[in-house]
Amino acid sequence: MIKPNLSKEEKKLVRQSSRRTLSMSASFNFEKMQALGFLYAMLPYINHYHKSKEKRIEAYQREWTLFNTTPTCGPYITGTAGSLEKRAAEDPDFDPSMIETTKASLMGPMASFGDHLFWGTLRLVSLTVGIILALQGSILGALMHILIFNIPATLVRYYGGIVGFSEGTAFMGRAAESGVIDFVKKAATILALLMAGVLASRIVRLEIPYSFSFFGETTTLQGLLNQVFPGLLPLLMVLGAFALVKKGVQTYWVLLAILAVSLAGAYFGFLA
Amino acid sequence: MSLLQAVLLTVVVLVLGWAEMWFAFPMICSPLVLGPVVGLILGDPVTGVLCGAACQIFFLASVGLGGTTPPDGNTGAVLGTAFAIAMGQGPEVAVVIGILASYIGQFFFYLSTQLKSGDNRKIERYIREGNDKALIRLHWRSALLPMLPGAAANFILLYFGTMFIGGWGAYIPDWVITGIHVAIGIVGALSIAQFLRMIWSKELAVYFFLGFLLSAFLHIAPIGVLALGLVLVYFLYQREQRDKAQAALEPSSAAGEEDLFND
Repeated sequence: MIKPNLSKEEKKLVRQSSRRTLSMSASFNFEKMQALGFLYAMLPYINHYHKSKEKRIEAYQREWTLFNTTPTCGPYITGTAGSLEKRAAEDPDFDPSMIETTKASLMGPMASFGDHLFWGTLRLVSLTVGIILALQGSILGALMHILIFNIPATLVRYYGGIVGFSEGTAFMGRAAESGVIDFVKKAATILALLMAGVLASRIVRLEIPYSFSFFGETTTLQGLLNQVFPGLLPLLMVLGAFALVKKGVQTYWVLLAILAVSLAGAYFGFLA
Repeated sequence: MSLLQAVLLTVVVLVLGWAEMWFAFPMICSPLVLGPVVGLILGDPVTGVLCGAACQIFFLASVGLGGTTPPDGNTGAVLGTAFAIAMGQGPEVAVVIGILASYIGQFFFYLSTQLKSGDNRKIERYIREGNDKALIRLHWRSALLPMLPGAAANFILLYFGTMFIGGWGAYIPDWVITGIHVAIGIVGALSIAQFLRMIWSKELAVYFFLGFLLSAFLHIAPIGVLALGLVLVYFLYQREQRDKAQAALEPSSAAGEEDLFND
């Protein structure tokens, strides 16, 4: 899938720029968003390929435009823009305005892909493992959360830069055609849904200490439920909450309602 | 909390917050991690871990997508955990204080982002001058300096706040703690629901139920379910490749079109 054909010098440049995309969001502001962070990551390419000061200033100007994407996907875009800066420096017929349009056309899809993959799915996977370990009082929870999240993120960052520089937008075309992007999205969603199911069975709890006599034995409603279908109540609660959220109910009010009911339940003893 | 502990805590949280932004959100500044950090500094790591987990469940689905600013659960977790430990309490108190503190954190995050907007005119000038060294300096400065007001607020709340209400822990009635404990269990459902909204699709929903069954009935640990999931995904990938190879072999009209475009 990935067949980079880069010189040693180019590899160094890509690595340098990819490393700088880490801090893409660090100087985020509402007007230009990650513009300065993007320019910061582009400086190695620009200063390497453009020798005259005028050319450099032109390049700084076109790389400092409104920009916003998932930082983990940043290296692919800086890599692509970097290879175009190289063409702009070597080919006098090349229209540099193409760099801006390419950048702008990549940041949206990459942000939606990256937000879905990293903030929506991978984060849920690493958090599930982490939270459940932490609920047992183990510090391993925090460590697993960090590890599970960062290993894939680092790989995407590393190969993103190489692929961006060596293939540019052609890679996206190829990946879309072969269906690999759709498959990655699907695979990530499957893993996240599995973990959401695990979370539902582990962190959601509601105990109703209502006891009654059942075939001569004193039992609680909870105990009976657990015998028939362990975790039925949590599952129904999650599905109910999902229906509420999907309807667009303000979660703030739901939170307050939950708090009020819980406090009342604890005060009068019908919840524990 | 001693002055030394408050200073240390403020500095560590500031560094973690900075590193979270500077290293593309490596998750080192999430409640799950901040809880134990606060616990270690205040000498009660286990309570820290538990408080961090409870806060994480509460703030599970609060992420800023596309540049929005949600209530800052990270600040919430730090102050919540610190106050809970100072008051001799547990996750219940951490969550309540964490919710209040998350709005303070949100304000300071918003403020820091506003402060950075002032840089744009300077950036324009440096670009016109072709001064890349100054641009780099500005990027570095802009990553750290606007976080200082929030850190100062953290310090004041940590040091004087715990001094002021540290002794109140004994006056909280038991039913309040029980009530919040119940609420945390229910809120988990809401957090998961918010996550589900991001990833739910009719076609794949069955995997949510599969994960639930594997955990509730077979008691497989989360990491085990994750490993099973990876195997499953690999299996699906293989099947997809095989289907594609078969489709390419069949001399249908669709395959013919593909050949046309493949040169």
